[in-house]
Amino acid sequence: MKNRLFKYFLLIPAFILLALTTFYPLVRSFWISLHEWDLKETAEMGPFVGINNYLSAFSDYQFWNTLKATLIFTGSTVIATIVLSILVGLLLSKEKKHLSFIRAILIIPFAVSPALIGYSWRFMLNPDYGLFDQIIGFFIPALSDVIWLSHEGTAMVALVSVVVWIFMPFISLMFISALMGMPKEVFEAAKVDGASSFQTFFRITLPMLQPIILIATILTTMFTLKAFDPIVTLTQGGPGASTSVLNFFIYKTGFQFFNLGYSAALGYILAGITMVVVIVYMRRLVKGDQWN
Amino acid sequence: MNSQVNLEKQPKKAENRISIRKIFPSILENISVLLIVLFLFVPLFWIFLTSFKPYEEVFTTSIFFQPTLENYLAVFSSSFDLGKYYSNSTIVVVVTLIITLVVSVLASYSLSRFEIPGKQVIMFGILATQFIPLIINVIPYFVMFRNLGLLDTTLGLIIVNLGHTIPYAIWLIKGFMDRIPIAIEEQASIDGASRLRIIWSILLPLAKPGIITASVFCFVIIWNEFMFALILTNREAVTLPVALQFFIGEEGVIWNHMAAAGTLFVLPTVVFMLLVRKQFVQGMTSGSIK
Repeated sequence: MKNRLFKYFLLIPAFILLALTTFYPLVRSFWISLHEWDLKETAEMGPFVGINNYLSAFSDYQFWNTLKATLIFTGSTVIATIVLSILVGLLLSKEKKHLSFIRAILIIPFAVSPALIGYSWRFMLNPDYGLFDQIIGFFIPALSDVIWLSHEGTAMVALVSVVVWIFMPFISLMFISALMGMPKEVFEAAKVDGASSFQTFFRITLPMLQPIILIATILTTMFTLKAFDPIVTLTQGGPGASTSVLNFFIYKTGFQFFNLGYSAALGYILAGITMVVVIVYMRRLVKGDQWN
Repeated sequence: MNSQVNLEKQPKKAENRISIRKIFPSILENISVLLIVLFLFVPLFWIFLTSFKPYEEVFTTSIFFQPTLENYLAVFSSSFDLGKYYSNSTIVVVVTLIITLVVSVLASYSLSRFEIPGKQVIMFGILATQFIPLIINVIPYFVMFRNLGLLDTTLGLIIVNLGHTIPYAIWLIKGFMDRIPIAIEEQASIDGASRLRIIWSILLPLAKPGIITASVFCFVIIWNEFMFALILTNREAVTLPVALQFFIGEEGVIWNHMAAAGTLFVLPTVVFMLLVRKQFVQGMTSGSIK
């Protein structure tokens, strides 16, 4: 009897804190999303408007622009992060001394503030004195006159590079630990049978990595859809609205234009998108498990 | 004579061919490794270097200059007051971390050791809160804090950060506790130790790697947390990541000062991460793959 209560007693503190700090704001936010509320005009929540805030998103051209930017940003970041991380994994997962040192310091970027990184890339991409700007100009003279952060396409490229910089080390570590845990006999057998390294990679390594690739894709997609700090510190959503992704657009709507009702509704649209993406990936993951 | 030379030469040529075939990919490999290291570490190195540059050198890419500590002195002066933001960040991190660890260890123990109806749903629900973009939570927080007078206070930041760290901590610590054999505790409870005593003196030491992993992970998250602090503070309770924007003035950005503040800002997370790197990487990867 005492035991039966004890296990709930242990859960109570965490549960109360989560209820207050997460579940309650989520519900309250949903309630706000069903109301009109312009904080510039009234301190109290305005009239109930049902799903009007959600409907007005679909007729808002800014929302569609934002959605396009989100798609480009998320798609390119996820693809670049996963491909690069597999490559880094393959390069760094060998048993060599200098590689083991690099593996050890690979975690450092994960610990560095994304906001600071956004600023420092802005510094390094400056057309007058930026280090990266000059390095790129030196190796690819055709790009030496590009002002990275003031054109729509190149600003997106810069933003994606920064976000890849932030996520890639962590995702690489996942691949490294997966690759180093793979049974060596399989690769030796493949070598004995005369398989080229390309064949080995596509026929053996890649299929064996598949579950990790799926998990890494889920994580990267979730992180990318939530990315915020580097957008504020690197591009501010500009030039124009070219890098204004949905998460940033929600922030602007809510805390620069103080349209809280609409902002909350947009937040739930982003939550919906995230959920759909995660569920689609998860189902593939579960399916894959059954095959094995 | 001639034929002899040929005989000697031929095997050598073959050897050369083999070694070129071997060396070329390995050169390519080393260049790729070098490019990765440069891509990841040049930005960090450049911040570090800039933090020692005198103002005139900031707008050049030179790496040869007379290093100075002036930038570090400048950021601690009253005009910027890094000390204040550093102590704000420290208060938020320490308090959030302590509360997070206490409640998460208790909850993880319960979820790991007992049968609880709907456990799978609870665990998924806890994780699902992190799928949801946190900006949704900030909207009602902003309104509530304004009514309660908690805007621009460290207490407000601690409250919002708890909702962010507890879910991760529970997942990470529970994962570790699941791997500790239950037999050890049963033995202790036969010996008459109380439940809380078992958690404190038997389970905690065994779960230490998990707790360290969770602490460092949460520490990094809170220390670098930007969005909550950007929206919910404006002067008094500003934390380090948001304070960086104060270096952007009307005449541009004071990069050398920002670099000095930035270097001091990233130092604790990088040092902690390196100290527990092995455990952390193991904990994170086995946790996420499991």
